Amino acid sequence: MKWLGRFRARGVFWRQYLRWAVLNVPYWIEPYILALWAFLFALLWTEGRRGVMYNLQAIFPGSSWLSIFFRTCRVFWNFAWTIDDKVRFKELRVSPDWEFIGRENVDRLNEEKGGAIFLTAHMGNYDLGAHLFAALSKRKMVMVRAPELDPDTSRFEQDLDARTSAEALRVDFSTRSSDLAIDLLDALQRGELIAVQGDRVTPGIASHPATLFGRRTELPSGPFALAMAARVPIYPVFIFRLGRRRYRVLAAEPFHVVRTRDRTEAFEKAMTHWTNQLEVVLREAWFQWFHFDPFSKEPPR
Amino acid sequence: MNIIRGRVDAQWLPLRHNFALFRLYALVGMVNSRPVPGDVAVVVDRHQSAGENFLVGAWTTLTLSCYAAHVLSARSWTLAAIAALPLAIVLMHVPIVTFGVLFMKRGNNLRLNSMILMASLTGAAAYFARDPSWVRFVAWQFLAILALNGVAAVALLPFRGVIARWETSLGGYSSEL
Repeated sequence: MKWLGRFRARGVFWRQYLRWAVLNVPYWIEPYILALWAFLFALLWTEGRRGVMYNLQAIFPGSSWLSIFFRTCRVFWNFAWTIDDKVRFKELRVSPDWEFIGRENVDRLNEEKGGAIFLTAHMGNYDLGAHLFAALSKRKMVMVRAPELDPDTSRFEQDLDARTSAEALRVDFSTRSSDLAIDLLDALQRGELIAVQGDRVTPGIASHPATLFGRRTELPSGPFALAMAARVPIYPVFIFRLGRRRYRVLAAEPFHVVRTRDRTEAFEKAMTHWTNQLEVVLREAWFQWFHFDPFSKEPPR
Repeated sequence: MNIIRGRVDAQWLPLRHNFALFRLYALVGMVNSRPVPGDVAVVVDRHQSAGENFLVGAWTTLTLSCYAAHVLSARSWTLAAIAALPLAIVLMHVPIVTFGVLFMKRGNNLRLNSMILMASLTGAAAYFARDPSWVRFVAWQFLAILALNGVAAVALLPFRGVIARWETSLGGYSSEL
């Protein structure tokens, strides 16, 4: 019955179906077909729905179950559009429209020679964002991401990335922690850019305790350790979906993880800076936080 | 793919629309717009307009739901009211999946499926237009809008050169983005 696994929510069948749909569903009927599938997934993928509802309850404490449920449907609707846009870009090279906020920060990065870390979250279209930044900065970029849990899905995604990613963009996976850390340090020292997500810990990657929306959680410590070791700035970057084929890039002021004798204190400071920024952004754009697992182990309040 | 940077008003470019009626509307919008600078990258693609795609999708889906409601109402009006819209969305899948699977090796079937779906809807409209019940009005409005789109396409013919030049004058260039 192993073949049944491909039809689970994270199974490869849905990735193949999405790719097929991008190449077959006429644009003018796409919004309604996407709405149907997004709603079906919100209803039938219990684990994902509960994860999103937990996270939204933390952002909107005191909200009723019904309002959290409708908000969850909106998260699924936005997620459907972003993965659709990603596959369309990769298969047909059709990009959405872009708006930029904080372009001066990206320009500053272009003027400096050293490497930098783009720290982002699982929101909006981070995949497309990485392509955009690789093109804007004229430098090589490494995008670090967690591999898919399902091995067939992981293979499918890796194949798609290898076939369609821009020359200046390389995708690497966060599971090979120690080797990857050395590779990334080398890349930073060569002046390359690293894009990494800092809002979710997956098994096998180093983490650091943090507080998000008043709940204890663990966030990846890798980006901060790398920034400290390579002495490069961290640029918080967020990609918001504004509507059909419209995105906004927000590049915030960079910050440094200053080397001190007390490594834990330096980490705490950087982590607090990051979580404060993350909270502000997530409160504003909660409908595109694509975190389908509860971000904290604390029981729902 | 062509991109225009720094001009918010480029969203009015008729080349960002697919159906002639919307291109005509965009043409009027473009003539009346003023240069609006902004830190944006606007993609010139005929399917880029959100308004057009949501409206055409709603129009076709609602038209098909009316046909579905008409057929289902022979059994029960309650059933028709509940099931017509979801059934219409599911029915839309039938030609897409059929032809998408038949021509899977071709890869990109977007244009083919779009034409087949629109032809199927036109066929359905021609069929229901002869029905004596209320559904004939729905069918006739569909055919009337199609005819209007044809008229708009003819009206746009003299402006083809102007529309193409607008893109160049706004600084459109080819990009991988």
